Amino acid sequence: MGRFSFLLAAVKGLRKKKKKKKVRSKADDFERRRRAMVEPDSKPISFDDIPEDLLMKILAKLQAKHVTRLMGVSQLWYSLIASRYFTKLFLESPASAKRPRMLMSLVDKADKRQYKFLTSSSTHDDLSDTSVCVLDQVLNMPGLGGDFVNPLRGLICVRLRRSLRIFNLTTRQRVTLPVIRSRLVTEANDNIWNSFLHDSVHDEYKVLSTVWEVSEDEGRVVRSEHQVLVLGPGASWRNTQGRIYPHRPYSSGIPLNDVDVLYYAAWIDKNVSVVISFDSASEDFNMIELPIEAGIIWHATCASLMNYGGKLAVFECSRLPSNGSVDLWVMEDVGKWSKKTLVLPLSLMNFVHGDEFSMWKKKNRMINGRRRCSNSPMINGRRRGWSS
Amino acid sequence: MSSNKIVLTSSDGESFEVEEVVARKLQIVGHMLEDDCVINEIPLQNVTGDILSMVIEYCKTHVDEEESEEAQTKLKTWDEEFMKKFDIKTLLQIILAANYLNVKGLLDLVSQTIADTIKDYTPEQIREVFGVENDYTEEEEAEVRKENAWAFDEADTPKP
Repeated sequence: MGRFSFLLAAVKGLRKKKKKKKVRSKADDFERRRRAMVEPDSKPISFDDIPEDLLMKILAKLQAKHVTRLMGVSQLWYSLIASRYFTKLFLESPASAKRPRMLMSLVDKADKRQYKFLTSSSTHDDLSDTSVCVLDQVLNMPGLGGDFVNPLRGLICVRLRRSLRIFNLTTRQRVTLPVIRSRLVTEANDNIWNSFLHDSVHDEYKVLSTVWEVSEDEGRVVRSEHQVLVLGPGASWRNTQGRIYPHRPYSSGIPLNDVDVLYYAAWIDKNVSVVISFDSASEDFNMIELPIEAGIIWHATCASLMNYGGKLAVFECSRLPSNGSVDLWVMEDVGKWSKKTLVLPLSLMNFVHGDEFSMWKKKNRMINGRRRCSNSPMINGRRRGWSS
Repeated sequence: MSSNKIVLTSSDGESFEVEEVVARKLQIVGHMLEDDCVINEIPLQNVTGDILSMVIEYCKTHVDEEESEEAQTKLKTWDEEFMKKFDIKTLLQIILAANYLNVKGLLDLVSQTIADTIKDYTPEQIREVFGVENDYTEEEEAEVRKENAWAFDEADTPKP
């Protein structure tokens, strides 16, 4: 890539010249129009007529593979397609050729070296039209293994012990991050938690890493350390600027509405669970208490966080096996919660086994039920499957 | 609904009399009307008559955007048929016009159509259609291919 950076500068100079020409030609506008009147169809489209933003708008509708091939058209096309601006446009552009894909990782809890990554087939129709999503493609990439941290803008982050890796599923590129170092990390314990995030203020990718120490007798979290790594050449771990009460995360991070704040559930004591927010730009932490009535302090294995229409919500399903209902605690404002009860139709009760389950929400965001036992089927919780 | 008529004149002197609601679909016209409401003839310097007539055809069809699913499906089918009429060079002229006249729906439709059309073009074909000069040396071009080998790997492409 570095070899081509000189091209960027060269291209910029090139473009300037062209623009100048354009200004001059405006003076000949009348003459051009007169000619156009005589021969209305003779004017060929020239590249100069197409503004760069318009060209990028068209290119952003292509699939990644097709647009990458077009880097070979010219140096200017290369620099446009390789630009950060285009990447952003590409990720945000709706296009019929780009379809969301489901992604699932399976890890054997007893032997973490046993894992599989599955995705839905690329030829599958729009997910919103179907109630069943077939995960039939096994992702085979060298080094792709371990615990699934989270996906982010076409990238996925996985962790194998203290080593984190980031994969670009499109280009099949892989980045291995420096090993996480902390006095609190022991060989015996799996006491590392990570989240892969994007700081849109600085347009940077970051990885948050938390390690903790629990007191042996009381199960209290005595200490936790939080480090951040900003992706880029020569990246290294550093301590976060923000301070927070010692905690031990137990849910994956949930972003809400593209804001740079991440939420996750964590233990601070044996039976006390809270929600922690982390601002990826300022790196400030914040602790949010859960409503006592939510009862999740006793049943945290049945609770998880979700994005409920742009609001943070706690999904609590400890009563699911007994009466087929699930409580949804929605955070209306910081620290202010409201409760909704969702009832599973009797006809779907046969899907419930023990306290394990998982459901998927529209637009590809996973609502993450805790999974303790294996081999139970998944509830595909479409909206029509639930009544509230 | 106002039945006020507005005359749009193309760069090559062709005039089109359209209803104000249709003309307002061209945002450039909408802004002019807001600035001064007594205009009834608007010259559009950057678009020729044959292209302008296509844009007006689109705007007439999309003048009432009905919410109903049936109406949406009908419009979508019309859009598809409408786009089939044009070759790539005409599509590029239309997108330039849609950009200049600021017709958002048409801009989205044409950019998707162009993308679908050029997706399998070779760089050589693209250069021809877009009038781009190849400023790579042979070695540089090979380097680009090597750098992005994944995108050129045909064996890896699942056939639809």
